[in-house]
Amino acid sequence: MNKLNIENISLSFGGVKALKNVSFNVAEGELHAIVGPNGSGKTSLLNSISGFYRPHEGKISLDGENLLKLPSHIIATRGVGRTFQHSELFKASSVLDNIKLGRHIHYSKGIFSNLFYWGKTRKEETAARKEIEMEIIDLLELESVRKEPVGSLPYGVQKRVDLARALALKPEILLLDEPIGGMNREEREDMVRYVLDVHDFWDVTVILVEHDMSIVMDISDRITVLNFGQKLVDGTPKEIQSHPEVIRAYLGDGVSAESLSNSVKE
Amino acid sequence: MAFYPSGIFKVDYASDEGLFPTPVIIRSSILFIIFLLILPWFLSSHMLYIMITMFIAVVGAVGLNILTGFTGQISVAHGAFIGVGAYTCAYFTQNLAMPIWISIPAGGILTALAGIFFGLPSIRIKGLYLLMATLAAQFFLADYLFVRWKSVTGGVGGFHVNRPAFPGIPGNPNLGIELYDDSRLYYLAMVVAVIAVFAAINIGRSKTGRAFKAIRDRDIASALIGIDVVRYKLMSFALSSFFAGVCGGLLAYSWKEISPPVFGLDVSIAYLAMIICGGIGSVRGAVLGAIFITFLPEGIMFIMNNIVIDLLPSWYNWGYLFSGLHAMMYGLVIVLFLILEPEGLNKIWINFRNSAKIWPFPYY
Amino acid sequence: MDYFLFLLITGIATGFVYALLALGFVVIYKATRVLNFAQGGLVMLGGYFCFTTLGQFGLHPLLAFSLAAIASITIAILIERYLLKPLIGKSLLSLVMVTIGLGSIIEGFAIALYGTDEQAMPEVLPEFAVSIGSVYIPSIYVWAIIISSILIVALFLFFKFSNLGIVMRAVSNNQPGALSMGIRVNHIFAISWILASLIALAGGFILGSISMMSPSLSIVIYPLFAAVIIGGLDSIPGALIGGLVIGVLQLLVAGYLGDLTGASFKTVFPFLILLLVLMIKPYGLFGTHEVERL
Repeated sequence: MNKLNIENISLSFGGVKALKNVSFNVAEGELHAIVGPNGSGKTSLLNSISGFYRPHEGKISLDGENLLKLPSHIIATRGVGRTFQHSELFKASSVLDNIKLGRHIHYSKGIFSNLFYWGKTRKEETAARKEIEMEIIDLLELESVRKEPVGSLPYGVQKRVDLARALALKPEILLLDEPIGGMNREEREDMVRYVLDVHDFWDVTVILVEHDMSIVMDISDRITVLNFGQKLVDGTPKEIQSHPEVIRAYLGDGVSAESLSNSVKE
Repeated sequence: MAFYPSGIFKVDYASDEGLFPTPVIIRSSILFIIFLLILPWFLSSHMLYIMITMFIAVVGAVGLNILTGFTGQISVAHGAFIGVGAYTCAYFTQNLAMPIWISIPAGGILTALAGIFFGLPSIRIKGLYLLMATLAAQFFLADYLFVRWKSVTGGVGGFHVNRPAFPGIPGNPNLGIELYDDSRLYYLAMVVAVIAVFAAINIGRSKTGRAFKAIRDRDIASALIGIDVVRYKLMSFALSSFFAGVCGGLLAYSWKEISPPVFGLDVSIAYLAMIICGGIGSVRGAVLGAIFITFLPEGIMFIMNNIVIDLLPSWYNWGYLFSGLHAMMYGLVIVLFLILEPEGLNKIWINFRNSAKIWPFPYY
Repeated sequence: MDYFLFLLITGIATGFVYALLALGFVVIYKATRVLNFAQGGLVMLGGYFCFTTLGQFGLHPLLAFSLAAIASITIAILIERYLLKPLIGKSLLSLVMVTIGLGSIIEGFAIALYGTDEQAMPEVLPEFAVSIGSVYIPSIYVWAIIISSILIVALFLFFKFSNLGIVMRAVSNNQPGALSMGIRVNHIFAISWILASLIALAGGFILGSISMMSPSLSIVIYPLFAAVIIGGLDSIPGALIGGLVIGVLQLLVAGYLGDLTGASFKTVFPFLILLLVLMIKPYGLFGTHEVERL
């Protein structure tokens, strides 16, 4: 059963073609990685799924519904949560407020109830706070910083808050844009563990954009390789590892499959 | 005797989400309200008038803080929005004979509609360009509509409004407790100000306010996590203008006489000065700022008339200097606060409170 | 027809002055990303500097203008050093509010020194009669066109060809880049303020001569906003066209619709154009639309 179908999407900025006729499918519950060299259109693809960019051709459908027709805040209500390559957190707000903002679409009380607060809004806020604490802050180990303003936190923790905010949306499909980019080894291992935990225990479909081939090969179920905005191949890590096109894109001509897999293992 | 525990221990999330972190704060808030309630008996009629003006300014400043402080949309049209509320209230009272509990909300609602209308450009533009749109709104309303729409506003001649009674009934607004006395209007203004402050705090700590702040910090990211940016921006304009309209209605009743120049650009700037010197984005800051800006001219006048004037040689006409000083007052306050204490009176208050807590034995 | 011609020519003269003053905005905005709400105050202050040196001191015009220029430059340096520099990197609201505050400080300053009465600028420019057909044009309007266009051309050449002009453009394009090239960015900021204050000085002199000197001359700033928004905040040709369009339209509207709409319409009208432009082309006709990225 496919969760997300991407059919023939093309996206261009002026004369630059960021994506050319890309199609692939993501199955329900899959951890799907998108890899490719810099500028190959990985982030553009994520931005197209979450509605920030509008591909002028093709179709992106989630559970059969075409996302390209929806404004981006509605796409979020369909269960598309995401993290960002460069931190897009609300820096002046506390960690807790950022996570609550992630849950925004699940708060039902409107402005009039909010103005009065005591009563229904209070009940809802308290219940949501409890869920956030139990499910997210506990999982991502953010207890000690929950009331700090996000802007004052170190980069690695900010990335974790970004993930926490995406999780607060209760996503059905989670888009992770280089979640371990720029981290040190320990932070990477923690982050990979969080992603795997979320994927395993929450039954979330995950689309992961990442540079680090060794980690991608280890954790993903399927991999799509992009190069210059075009899909090279997609398949299981085993298939990808030995695929000549991929090797050429990554390492240039004249490199054998064995040396690539060796370099990956290192 | 009040004492602080060596830490605040909470055992459930409800109390952590609550407004009052310690019982001491609840008690001192109640004491403060009681103080405000008995204050009119000890005030001169001039001070009473200033206090009423202060409460009204609190309503307006807290409202502007929702738009500019929470949502980050700079508005220089609040002077005119206050005017919309004032004229609506005056019209409802004088021409439609509506009681106060209809006319003030009506002023708020009509101003909210005006706010939404003039906030429409915020769908497409932001920053300086949006500021320009609100400047256009200010000039269109205060310098044109209020002046030219004589059948409703009375034009430059002004509009006289009789203070209605409380509560009054439709058709006869003068039924009930007469408000002709400032000490009675004081209580009305005070209650409205307290409601406005609590409403603003409540917005700030719930879904709507968080969405506002998200739009201020990063509008694109907020759309991608499911916030309807357009809707919340307009909601912020509406809510903020509603406060401005209520503020204007109270002003009309307080002054009894309104005319277009009292809703000019300098009023918008005075309200921006309030939230800046109070500390942008904090309700407490807006309240402190409103108090500060209301009492500033009084304080300056007091010092000038009682101390400085005797020290100055009398052969020179000091009137120019005084009026110059008066004209630059708000500007000076804005500039000094922005450069010396950008986080405003709120920060000064927090610093004071933190050092007072450990007085007289600081840790170091 | 004569009336139309008269309005058209005085409108063009006003438009040239607006264009010049609008350049004062653009110079500062391009370099520092600050929209200077105190520009009207600077114009008024410049007018008063000329008024003082020419009228009250009774100096020779050349000496008088040099003294006034020195005063303007000093003020600009003080403003940049003590008001704007501490706020580099602060929020838009702070930057806007500091210039609004500055504007009211300058106005209060002028009121304290000169009072609120209108005073006539001494006439130092040679008088001559210009008539087109049967329309008599006061010479000050001709002077306005001449002085403004000379200054505009000079500014244009400065930005296009002089080394400093190129450096300023570099700073406005890419501040960190310019910094790494060894350009002292804060000097460039100060220079753009100095340029703007000199423009304001010239504009203040012309406007003070056309009407009268009074602290309320600073309201000239409001139609200018419409001019720079129509042109786009960071475009020099845009500012010129915007200034001309607003100047001409404003006088035509005031001349023909004045009875119908009331005197205050003259102030409001540019803002209606502004709103219209914002609705149709949010970033002006020539401004750069900033593309947002994630």
